[in-house]
Amino acid sequence: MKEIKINPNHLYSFNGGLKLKHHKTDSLGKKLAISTIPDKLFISLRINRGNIAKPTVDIGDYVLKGQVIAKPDTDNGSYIHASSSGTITAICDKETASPNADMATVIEITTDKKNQWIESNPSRDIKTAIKDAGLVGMGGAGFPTHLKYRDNEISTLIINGAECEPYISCDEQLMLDFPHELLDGIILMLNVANAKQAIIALEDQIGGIKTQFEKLISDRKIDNITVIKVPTIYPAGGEKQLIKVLTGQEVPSGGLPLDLGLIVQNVGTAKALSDYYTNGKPLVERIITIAGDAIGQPQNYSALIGTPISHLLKQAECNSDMTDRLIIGGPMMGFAMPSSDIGIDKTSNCILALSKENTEHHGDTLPCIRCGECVNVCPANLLPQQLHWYIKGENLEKAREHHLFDCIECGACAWVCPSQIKLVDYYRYAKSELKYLDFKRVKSDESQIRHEKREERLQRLKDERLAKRKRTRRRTTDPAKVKLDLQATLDRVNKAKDDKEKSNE
Amino acid sequence: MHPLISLLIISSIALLFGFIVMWVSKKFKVEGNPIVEQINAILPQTQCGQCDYPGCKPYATAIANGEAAINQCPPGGEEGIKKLAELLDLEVLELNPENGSEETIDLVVEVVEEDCIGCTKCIQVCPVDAIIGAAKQMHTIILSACTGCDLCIPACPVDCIISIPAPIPNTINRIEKPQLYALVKEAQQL
Repeated sequence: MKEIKINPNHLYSFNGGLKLKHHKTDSLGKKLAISTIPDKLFISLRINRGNIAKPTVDIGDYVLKGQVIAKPDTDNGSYIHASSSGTITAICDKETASPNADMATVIEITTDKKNQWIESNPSRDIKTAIKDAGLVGMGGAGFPTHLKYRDNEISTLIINGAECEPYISCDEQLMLDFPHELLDGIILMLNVANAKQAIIALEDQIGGIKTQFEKLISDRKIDNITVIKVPTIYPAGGEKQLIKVLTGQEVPSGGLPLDLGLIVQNVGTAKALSDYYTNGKPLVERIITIAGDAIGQPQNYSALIGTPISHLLKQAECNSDMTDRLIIGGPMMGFAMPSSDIGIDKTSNCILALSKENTEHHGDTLPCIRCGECVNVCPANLLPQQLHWYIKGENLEKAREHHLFDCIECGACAWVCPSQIKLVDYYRYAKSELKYLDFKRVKSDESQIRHEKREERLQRLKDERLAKRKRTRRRTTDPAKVKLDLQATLDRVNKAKDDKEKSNE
Repeated sequence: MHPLISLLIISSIALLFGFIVMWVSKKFKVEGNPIVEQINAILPQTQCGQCDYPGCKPYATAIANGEAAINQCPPGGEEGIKKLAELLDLEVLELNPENGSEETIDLVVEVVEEDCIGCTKCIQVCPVDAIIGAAKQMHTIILSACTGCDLCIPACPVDCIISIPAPIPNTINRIEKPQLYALVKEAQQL
């Protein structure tokens, strides 16, 4: 494995990117608010990439806070816990706070407001603890955390505190308010990954967090955690982009940071691990930013997983008449939500309520003029306009050849497009369609095998039948053999007759 | 030099090459027609017989021999015809309406289990062995293996096999293609 050297004074850069207005001060500078317990929690069982966990409880069951209510049926998932105590009142298909507000199984808990914890006894093995706590990447993708800790050799653990999207400030709030828990979590992760060092990456526009951390680190005499500020360029907080900035290396196409001997974790995930390992609290709450110009009191809230968006909006004094669009996630990569009746999930880092002023399109979408602006800003070094043309012409395989699946959907290309083409929508469409076509291809290959096996079997049965018929026919046509057979039968009959007579006597 | 010597040298070289060619053609002999395999790989493998051939491979063979047109496969649809045309350097044709029309969604079949009499007739016609059952026992269909060829529907004497939308894994979430330019939208508004 290549040795990875990280020098805080010599950082690298990725292609393109954008300088965006931050809009973060509105929600920061206030204390973290604790959200009240809603009457109903809607806990989505959707885990990353559409896998759905299986409920382990029934309607009518009483559950305590932190009790496991759903288990994944493959290793590629994570546990889901009840976020508060109460009664399960429904298990049904409902929209979730995921891309395109996908339908998935949702467990509805009517809370009893007692918020009573279940007694827990966290495992002392960190790997098991990660799984039991239901940890997923809290930065947005929701990749199950236990899958990152395999037996790979890890040189560096990167803790991602570079929140690059405008408005979102939940990670910054977490670093300000819970530095101790965060450091505990990082030390646990260092142990389980057996890594030499950890790096906390921050954006350079962030205030005094670096000094705060450095003081804590020297107070606690930790020598393998360093804090590095990276330039504030969107999307510097993207996993692959952050690795490029820090190490100058690129994650191979279709690969994972593990291939470079790196693990990247969001600050929220590290804190959640320490919460479970030291206090026995699984991942049932997270910090979420409520912001946007329709919000009266933009602020960061500590909210239970499954809290309906409407409940949080009410607390943040949202002007519902002004709200034109509700977005989960940031303004660049977020998804519009069809209603405010949806529960937040483990990856929801922000709710934006935007007024018409901010969502309206200025001017129409026009044809692509191949100006190449999008190529200049693409942080994944792709050719956005070329992909757009291929997808428009339904030439999806060609788009795949041009590394469509390396697109991180950051939206930088659509942001700079002078024709205002919603490029990311095209890429999302093409990715989903290609996945579907792959599924069909696999199925057709399987059908071909099944069909060939069947033909083979039918042919074999036919051959066997023919062979059998041939054998009997030969026996009946060969005169010498017929005579022998006849003699044998006669002998047998006579013998039986004799035996019978003997026994009668 | 004697002209016979040069003749001898040339003919022995020719003989040597002759042997090499013979050996190579034996050693690297291609079994079957490779173009049939390539065509077969494009066909959807539903084995439905809508193309008037008893399966995908026979149809592929017929196309390779120039006996059948490339527009007789409704499950493959427009996309399949385009791919075949590209592979064989032929013109893209419209789907032949005599063979049927392309379904907009994928379908598979299901046995209405309370009506099944256990006659095994559907099992005998299923080209991919996707039906489980025995005589006088209720039959059922493995949905993930069913290709939606519908061959079992006419075979059933009590009409207890029905078409249902094909199950798709949760990890695949098809979304619609984004609308084209606003100019089209404007045209629609006029």
